Amino acid sequence: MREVAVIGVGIQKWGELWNRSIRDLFVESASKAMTDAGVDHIDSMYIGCMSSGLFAAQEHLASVLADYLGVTPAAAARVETACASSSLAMRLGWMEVASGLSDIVLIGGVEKMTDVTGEEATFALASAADTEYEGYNGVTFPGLYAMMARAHMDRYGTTLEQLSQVAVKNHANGALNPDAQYPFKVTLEQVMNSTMVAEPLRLLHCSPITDGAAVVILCPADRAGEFLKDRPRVVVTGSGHATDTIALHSREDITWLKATEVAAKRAYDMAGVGPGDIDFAEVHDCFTIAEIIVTEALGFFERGQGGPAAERGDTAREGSRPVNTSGGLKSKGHPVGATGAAQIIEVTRQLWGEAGDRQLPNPRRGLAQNMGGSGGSTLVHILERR
Amino acid sequence: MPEVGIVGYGAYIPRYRIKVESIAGVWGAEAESFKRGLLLYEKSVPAPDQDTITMSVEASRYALKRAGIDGSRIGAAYVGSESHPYAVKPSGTVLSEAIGATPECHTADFEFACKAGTEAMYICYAQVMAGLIEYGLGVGADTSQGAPGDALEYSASAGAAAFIFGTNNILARVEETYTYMTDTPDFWRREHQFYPQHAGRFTGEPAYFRHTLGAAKGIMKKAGMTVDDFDYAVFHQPNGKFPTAAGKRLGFPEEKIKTGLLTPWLGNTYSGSSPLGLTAILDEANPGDRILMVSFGSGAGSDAFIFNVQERLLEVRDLAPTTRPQLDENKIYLDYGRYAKFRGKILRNPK
Amino acid sequence: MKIRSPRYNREIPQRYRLEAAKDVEGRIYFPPRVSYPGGEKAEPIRLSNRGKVITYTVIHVAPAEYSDLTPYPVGIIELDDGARITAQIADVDPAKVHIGMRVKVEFRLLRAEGEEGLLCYGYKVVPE
Repeated sequence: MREVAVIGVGIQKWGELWNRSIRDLFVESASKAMTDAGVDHIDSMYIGCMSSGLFAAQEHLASVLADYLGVTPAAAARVETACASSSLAMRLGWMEVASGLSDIVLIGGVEKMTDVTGEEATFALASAADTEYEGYNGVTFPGLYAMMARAHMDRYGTTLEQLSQVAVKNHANGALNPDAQYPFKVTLEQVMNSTMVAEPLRLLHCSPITDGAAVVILCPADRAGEFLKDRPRVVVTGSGHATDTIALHSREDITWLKATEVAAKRAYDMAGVGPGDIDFAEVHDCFTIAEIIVTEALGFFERGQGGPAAERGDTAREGSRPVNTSGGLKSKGHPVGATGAAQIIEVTRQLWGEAGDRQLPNPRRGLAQNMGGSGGSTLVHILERR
Repeated sequence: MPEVGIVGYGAYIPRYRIKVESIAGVWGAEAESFKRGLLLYEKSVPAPDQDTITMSVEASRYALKRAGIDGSRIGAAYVGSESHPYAVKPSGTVLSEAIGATPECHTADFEFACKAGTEAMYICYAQVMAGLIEYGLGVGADTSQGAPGDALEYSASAGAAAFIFGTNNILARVEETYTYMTDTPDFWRREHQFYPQHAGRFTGEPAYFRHTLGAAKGIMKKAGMTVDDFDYAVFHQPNGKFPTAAGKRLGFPEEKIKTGLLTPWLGNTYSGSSPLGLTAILDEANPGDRILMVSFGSGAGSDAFIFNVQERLLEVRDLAPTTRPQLDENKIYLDYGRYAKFRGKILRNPK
Repeated sequence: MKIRSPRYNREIPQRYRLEAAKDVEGRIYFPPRVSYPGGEKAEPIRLSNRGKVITYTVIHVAPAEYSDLTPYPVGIIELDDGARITAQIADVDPAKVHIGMRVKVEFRLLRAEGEEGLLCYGYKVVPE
């Protein structure tokens, strides 16, 4: 297998982008990424999108996007693992380059979520759970994570303050990210007094509804020098992918994310590293409880200790293990299909030293963890500066 | 002819209630007049996720428990109601599927205002008597609506009672049946109309009392019995006053009426009304007791049954929830606003 | 999105009667499957209709089909035979729901597909 490098990234400021269609969103970020990499063609592309059908009434999305980007007849595929879709695109693009099949591969994700009402968006998102045995019974996406939160609080004594502290921290990071949908700080009081969504989770414990796209260009590491100019070389050293039961109620342990544990182990083993070797991480904080459990499942903290770690500030930018320097899904926004690619962008920018005001001091190894549904799928990637 | 009777029974009453005061307050009416004049204090309200079908299923499951039989042995399942959730598509198919009675099961939905439930019971009884089926399930259930502000709004409530008829392990043997029916336009609801219409005071003497008393006298004469032969009597109860008056006019002492009189705190469950009263009596009666039941349905007619309580009742009574605790315990009170929302009385934009 | 007849009809045995399957090692599958891992044989069973709340939430923001019910509790219920289901917890003050609460299954109307479409039934739980 060939080593694979990131040579260009593209993203726009995310938000409620009323004047942008799903095509516009993608083409805007993809053009930026191609310009950033300095490539004038691509061999193929993989685009993650959770539900262009329900959100934008458009399927056959790969061809729509290849057409509007002007790269036909390049091979193009739209891939889907709910909110982890563009991390799957990343994995497939990495495999294609690593295998030697292609040299220049575009991976990315897009979601246009504001063309439907809030109730319709809630429905579309709920279809990432078990439609017949969870959704039919009225449970929503926030509801599933709320049930994890309640169980975690009951078993480990995790507190509402700890759940809220994750949002405070991620907004503090997002306030320094010009691409973030909500680039402002929030206080603990604001989080804990925000509108109730699914008890005990309130609005500011939840990631928002977002329009956006994120795109990354990959090439073989031995050709990266052609494109990177003065940038350091950032390569993919680990990729892990795992699944779990679709329904939360089928899991042995409702307070755990098994697919994240397994995907992380696969990525660590491939990279020949352990949790202690990771300098920083972008993780899937669709709800703040998710960040707490994920930081446990990645092995950053002991089981049940994710809450206290967040409260101590271990995961803050100044902490021992910075998590979600981009602002996370919480502040940066969560256009579901685009989220994984945006995590890769943040990790790359940190490793390139291009993270602006939120730049970490000289990080060498970053991890991105992205999951679909209530944890029914997870992808973990490890990127290193060479 | 084989001996036929009730081999299992079940009652289901929703937990939500609204007090007469809460309704009267909205319409500028005097709650006291409903309490004193009609003996109505509060009524049950179906939750938004309850209807005639769901309540029929629960009552029937309780009946199966008491009967000690599997649903697959039910050869006919009939639901009597004036609030079948579908205009076309039987309530009985959903019920039969839910209790596992399909596919070898007759079903049909009955409607005869408030006596559809006893129609269902009668047909089951008759089929078992004829030897056509082993067990028949007859249900009376309603989630009836009175027009906002109308006198009926103070009484129209929700509940279900289910009875399984058979020849083995009888709890209450049927000793006699009788029907008294005429064409009497006291109360109706035309196709596609949401609320019923009624003929005011014409619903009393020429409708309720003529048929109820006619059926009661008719069955006693047919059976060669008098009031003294009965330990309990239950009549259709559109309010508390009518059945009390009917009992008095027939010469029943109050203690024979009160066990089955649920309406003051339940409201009028229409097709479930006298059947629910019967379940409350079966919850208390002793072997050898004799029960008179007379339903009434507008339009108009009354079905009458005489039941003789058997030893078996004592063995199975506690296998399922009894009626009075469902009426008296775990109540959740609604204000008129939530009640109006629950009952679809608020004009809204279509979804 | 409206549920149409074919999709609704397939789920009736599970939704109405809690039909499930149990393999030789005692693992319960709900809903039953077309085939079982490792080619195991599984016998049809019906799930217990009583259990307890393992975890729960109270939904304040719901999809359109359920928005009339908000705020409504939903929980993961461990039935007495060990099977777990997700179900709404009806007829209860949401503030009184708690982990470990005993519940029983009742037959309820889950959703109505507009004024003209199907009525969709199934299970909810209520306090025991």
